[in-house]
Amino acid sequence: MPDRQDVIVVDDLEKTYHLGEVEVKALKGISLNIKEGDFLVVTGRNGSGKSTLLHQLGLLDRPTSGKVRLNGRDATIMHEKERNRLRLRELGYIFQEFALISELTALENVMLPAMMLEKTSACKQRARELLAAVELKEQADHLPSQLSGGEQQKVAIARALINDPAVICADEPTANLDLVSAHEVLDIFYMLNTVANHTIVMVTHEHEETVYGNRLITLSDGKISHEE
Amino acid sequence: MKSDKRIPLFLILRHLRRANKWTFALIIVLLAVAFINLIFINSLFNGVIESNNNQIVAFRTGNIDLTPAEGQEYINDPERVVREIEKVKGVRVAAPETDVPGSLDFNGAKGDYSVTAIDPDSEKRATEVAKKMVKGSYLDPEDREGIIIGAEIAGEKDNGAKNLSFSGVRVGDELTLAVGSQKRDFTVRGVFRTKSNQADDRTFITEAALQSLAPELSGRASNIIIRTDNTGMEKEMVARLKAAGVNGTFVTWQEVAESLKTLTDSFVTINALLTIVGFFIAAVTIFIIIYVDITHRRQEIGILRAVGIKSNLVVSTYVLQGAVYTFFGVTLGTALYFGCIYPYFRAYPFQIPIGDVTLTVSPGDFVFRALTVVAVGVLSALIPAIIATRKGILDDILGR
Repeated sequence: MPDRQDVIVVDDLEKTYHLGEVEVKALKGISLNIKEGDFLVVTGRNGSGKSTLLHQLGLLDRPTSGKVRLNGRDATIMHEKERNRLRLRELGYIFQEFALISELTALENVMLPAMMLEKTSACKQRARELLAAVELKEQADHLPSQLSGGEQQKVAIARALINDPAVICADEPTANLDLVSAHEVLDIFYMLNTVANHTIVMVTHEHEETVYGNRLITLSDGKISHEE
Repeated sequence: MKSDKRIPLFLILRHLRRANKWTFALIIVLLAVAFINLIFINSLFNGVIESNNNQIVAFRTGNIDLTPAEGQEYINDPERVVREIEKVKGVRVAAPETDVPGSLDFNGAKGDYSVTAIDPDSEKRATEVAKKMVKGSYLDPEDREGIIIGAEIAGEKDNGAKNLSFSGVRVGDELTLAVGSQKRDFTVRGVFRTKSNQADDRTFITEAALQSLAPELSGRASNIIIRTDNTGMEKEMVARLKAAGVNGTFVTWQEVAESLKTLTDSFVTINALLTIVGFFIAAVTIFIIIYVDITHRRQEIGILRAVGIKSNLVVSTYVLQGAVYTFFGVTLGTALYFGCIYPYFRAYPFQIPIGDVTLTVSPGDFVFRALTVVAVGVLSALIPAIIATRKGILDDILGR
């Protein structure tokens, strides 16, 4: 395999929350490198810091200390506008709860991020292709409320892919899905990684899902306790 | 369209199409009510002022009141002057009036009430007193023994001036009019109530009656009431009348209204105070409605930011939504106001002691209030949208 470049470099990352007067250290000095083409599965018990780490990688939150470099650029010191630009172009984020806009159809939800960059017709065309790829061609004009959980998550995946991001971050994407839908979603991630060479970081607490990745880290009490 | 500026419009159009119809309708109705509240009070007080002004024109001075030239007590040869006036373009009718210097007596009760001699035919066209007869009938031009009296003199029930009245004169009763040493009994033909304190304390007899009672006043008028085709062009009409050679002192109804300004000033002040309170209440109401709606959509704001939509576009989306909501609210309010409320109160005016008051809307006031409501709507959306975009994305999505 040719030498792969680091897409994300995490250096001594710490995140502390303040719940009233109580200080909760969610991340305690995490360091890791994610290379192009990695399918990194992050696992651990509830409260181990998995989602907190993913929020940092997805630039949805800022750390208390440490650095997150995306394609060599330190995102932790960037202005919010620049972080926004990276979220739009370089990152695709998939939430556990799908996070679709309820008043937009599947097609409109998928094309929305692309409308920041391209003409409507081009956005629509690409969104249709992506929906077809996740086998939702017929449901393109359905509202989220008219879709099953699995279908909504597929729409969220298509939305995450619309701007062809460098990294896809998925936060427990199967947690709200039935077994069949969960496998469909995981198969999509697997194909995205192995066929389309997308870099994927997926958080899960389901042990059996760890087999889909090519790297695994386990978090425990805000630290990496195991890595393979 | 390639620009990302289309995103707010894209989102708003879909929101309008797919948002919960009942919630949307409720918000629009509440905004419409807030807007109606804002224009209703203003219209009511404008109506009071307009009613007062209309009363001056309809029952007292007409559009222009021609009084004798300075230094003269009467307008001589009023018939000739009326002919001259009525030749002027824009004049509908001119009606001479002669004040009779006398006193009235009813069953021993005396009063120095204003007695005016008129030509009933021209007076009917120049003033609207004839339309306000509450008992009996108006004067006939040839009636030399009849008199009509205002409700305040007749002593109508609840007229608020019983101590100044004859306390219950009826049609057919006889009043004695004394002019100098001459005395004459007049039969009450009718009682009128205009609700104008400029008119309801007057009594009228015919010119024919005056001629037989005080022939020395024949061929003289105290004033001539001039009604024009259009109200609001009095200054121009005065200029035309002067140019046509009509001599005398011209007093427009606006000048009379100005002299009665203490009444209208009070209403202007009350109107201003209530308008300020109304604005405050409307602003708070609109703010709460839109603020709550947008605050409930914080998760959506968080999602938009998470997928990379610029914060300024997110804010623009909700500001546009606030503007659209208030636009619909103002539109519905306008439709309800002019479709239902305004015609209803035109048909069934408020019956208040100073007259029948309908709603009067000034276009300037209306536009100002409509723009204010939209501005408040925009501000109400701007504040929570800015607060939401300054918070963390996760705080928005998780509602923290």
